[in-house]
Amino acid sequence: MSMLVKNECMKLKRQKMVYVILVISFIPYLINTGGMLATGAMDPGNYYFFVFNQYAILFPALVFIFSGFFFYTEFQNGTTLNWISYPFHNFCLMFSKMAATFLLLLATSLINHLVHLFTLWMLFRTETGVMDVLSRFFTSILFTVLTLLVIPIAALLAFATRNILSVVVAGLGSIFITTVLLGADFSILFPFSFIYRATIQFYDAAMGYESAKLVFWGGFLLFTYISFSLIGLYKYSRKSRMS
Amino acid sequence: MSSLLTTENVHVEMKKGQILKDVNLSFEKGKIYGLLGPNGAGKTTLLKTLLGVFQPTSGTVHFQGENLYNHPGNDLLKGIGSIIEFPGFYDNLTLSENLVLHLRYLQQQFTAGRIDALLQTVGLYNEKDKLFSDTSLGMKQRLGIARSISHQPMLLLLDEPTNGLDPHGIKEVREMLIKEVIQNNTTIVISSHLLNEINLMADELIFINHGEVIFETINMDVSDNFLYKLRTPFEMNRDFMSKLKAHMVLREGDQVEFVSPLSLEEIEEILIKEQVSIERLDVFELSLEDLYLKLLSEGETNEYVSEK
Repeated sequence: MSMLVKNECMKLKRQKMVYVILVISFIPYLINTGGMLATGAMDPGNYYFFVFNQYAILFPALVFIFSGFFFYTEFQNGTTLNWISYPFHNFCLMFSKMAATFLLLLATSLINHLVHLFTLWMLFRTETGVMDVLSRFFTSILFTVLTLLVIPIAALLAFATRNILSVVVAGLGSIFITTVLLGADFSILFPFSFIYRATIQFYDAAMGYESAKLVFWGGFLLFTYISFSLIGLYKYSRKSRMS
Repeated sequence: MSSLLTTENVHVEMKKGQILKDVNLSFEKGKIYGLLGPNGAGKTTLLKTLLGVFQPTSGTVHFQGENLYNHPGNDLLKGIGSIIEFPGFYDNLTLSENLVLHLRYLQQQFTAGRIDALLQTVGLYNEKDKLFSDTSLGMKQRLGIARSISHQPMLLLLDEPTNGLDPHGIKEVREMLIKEVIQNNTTIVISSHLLNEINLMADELIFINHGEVIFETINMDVSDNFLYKLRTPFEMNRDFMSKLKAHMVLREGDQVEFVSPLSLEEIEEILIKEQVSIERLDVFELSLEDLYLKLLSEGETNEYVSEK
């Protein structure tokens, strides 16, 4: 599997989309850091929360867009037939692409969080301890990891529709849906709003779910969505005519 | 000669209908097979089926004696090289990087020298650091050929491999493929609309139309045969046709056309001996083009007797 993942990473060489995703992912950081320095409204809590909040809305869309793009490149380059003719189970090939997507977006997100928290620490060293920074890092990275678990949903959509636009629209739509659902308890129905609420509680418990039951059911639903997507991809990979 | 690849009663059905019907073929080691047929005849589907990526609705494909579809993701596929439809590569990678990626997928040991040699073989060594997106159609096609032979496969499946090549390039590809057969005893199944190319390369010809194999012949036989057209009320049955060594019979009313290696004198002698009354007998030299047009012309009610 590691060789397959390495091959997928090789396919990302010189891909402009990688840089585009990295630059876009810094928008919340740039806007909020710039805004804070410009206005002089220096508050470490607000600074962390505002960047996290906007990043948490933006990042799922980027995950969808990039996953869709990466899977779509096989169709665009006309390499699908050759790709699936290699002596591996098609699901392994798909899984390696998802793993490469996971690793790349994790690295992108890690850079974001490190830059964000380093800036926070540099600007508010006197009021923010190392433990605070580490706790916020945990919140941010947990959000990233949970969000990246939805890659199979984007991959399934990309494969089923073979249309990059459908995945982009789904990604952008997730921004809207997350924003609308965020405040309600039934936000557990939507993966990204659930992940947001479930992780932000490590920063501020009041923003999370009041009952552990909701967290359980939200987690269960998230697990179900991911499982169904993986099953869908597995079934798709067994389709002899996926080429 | 031992069979490398066989298909038994292969049927492929899709939503739009039956694409392949009862295909029974046998491909021997070290031979070149020309797959001929009009667009939409089922050639590409057949090649995909032989490649192991397009499972037949019914029937089996055996490669090296093993069922190709009972071993998904196994090592059998390492023995097959292909260019189907068009050579797809990654636009953002260089020509040599694309070959490296291919060999890594096939878990082949290779050196930079091996990649250079492959590119040299197809005349792309000087372009090895060029991005695939910056190459011409002919270069793409050459790289496709380099990829298909890079792991020294036992079977090469080539769908229009000379598309986009100039006459010089076409000749180079032909020579390269023949060399591959001679050096490595590779079996090649090649589909092309360039009849002359197929004629110069193929040992055997397979004509396919509407998903059915309608005629198989040894290529050499085409030029060693004559096309006879005669008008006779005589009922020409299978036994009589075998006396005439007829490969193929097309019958419409009292018009009979057949292909035979016998000379005109020999045919006349048989007809006289058998007391067959004929109104007219014409003989023509047979070309692959004649055979192709004869076999694949639409709207005729033909009966074929195929003797390979």
